[in-house]
Amino acid sequence: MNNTLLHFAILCLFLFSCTEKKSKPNYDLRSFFEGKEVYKYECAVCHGKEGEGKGRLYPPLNASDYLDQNIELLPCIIANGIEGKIIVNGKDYNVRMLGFEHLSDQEIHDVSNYVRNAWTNSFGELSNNNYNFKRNSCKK
Amino acid sequence: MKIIKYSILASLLLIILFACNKNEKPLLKYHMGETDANGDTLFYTIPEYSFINQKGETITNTTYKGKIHVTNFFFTSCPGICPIIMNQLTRVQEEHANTPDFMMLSHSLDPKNDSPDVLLNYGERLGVNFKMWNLVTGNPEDIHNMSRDGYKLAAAWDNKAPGGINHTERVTLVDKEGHIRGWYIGTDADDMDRLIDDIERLSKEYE
Repeated sequence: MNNTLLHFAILCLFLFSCTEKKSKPNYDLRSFFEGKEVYKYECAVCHGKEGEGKGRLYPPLNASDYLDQNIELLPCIIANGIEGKIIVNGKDYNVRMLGFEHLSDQEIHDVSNYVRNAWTNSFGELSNNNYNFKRNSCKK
Repeated sequence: MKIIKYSILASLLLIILFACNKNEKPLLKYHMGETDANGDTLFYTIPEYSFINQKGETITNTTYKGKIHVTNFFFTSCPGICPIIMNQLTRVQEEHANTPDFMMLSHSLDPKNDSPDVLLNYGERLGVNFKMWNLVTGNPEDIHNMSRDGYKLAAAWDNKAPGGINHTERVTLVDKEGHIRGWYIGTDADDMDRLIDDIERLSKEYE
């Protein structure tokens, strides 16, 4: 009997010691998952399901040194597009991307949150709490 | 015993015969119900056109006369269906790289931005073999009319569509005489496989 109790106690100890305390992600999960849907329908066709990019046409969004250096510009690039040559991870890309005029500010906010924290990216939340992206804040 | 042997042999023969006889539908040859004086069907022919390719050269019906060709409409900054279609078309290019008298023709629906230089840059990045595949630009009205009236496809300016241009995902197969021999869904890999097969079938018609 005593042995059974002892075994049970040891088992409990193991179980509790294995339960890792989950740390809270440093981004809004609701926004992240909303953004994941937007990404699937609007971005993945060119930039790839895993943000891997497509050949010499469309640059990667995962592990991209260009995004490392320009991460704060991401929502405005989605809103207004980008053209001209850019270098990403040592390769040049030069196909114009149009602005996504049909996406709402909230959708751009969410998809930016997704790209910032998807795959191996870990840029954290787009901005502080209660901040919402507004396309008219972008420089034209 | 002999009867069983012969029955098995006969069944095998029948299976082989049926397997070989694919019984494929003949390729389409588009017409609008018109006939000539002898009552023979007048097949629809692609109207005359003149566009400018990625090297600034003029491309007309003459360029494609005597060539089986695949045509479509796209634009380089298209965020919607074009990347899928153009990617599928590179598959067609690879599959038919050695098919004699076979070419491809992609029209930009955004001639204002898609200059020959922009098309050249895009084509190089996509992996276009310019010997067999022209990317063309030209008068916007002409290109839109060619899509709608020439190839019987739809294309229209639409502010709500991604990129502002609402266009068809259809790809057209044209024979050496300029007759339409099929339409295919450029975003559907299975239908593009059908196109790849139909190019081979069409090529055999000329052997």
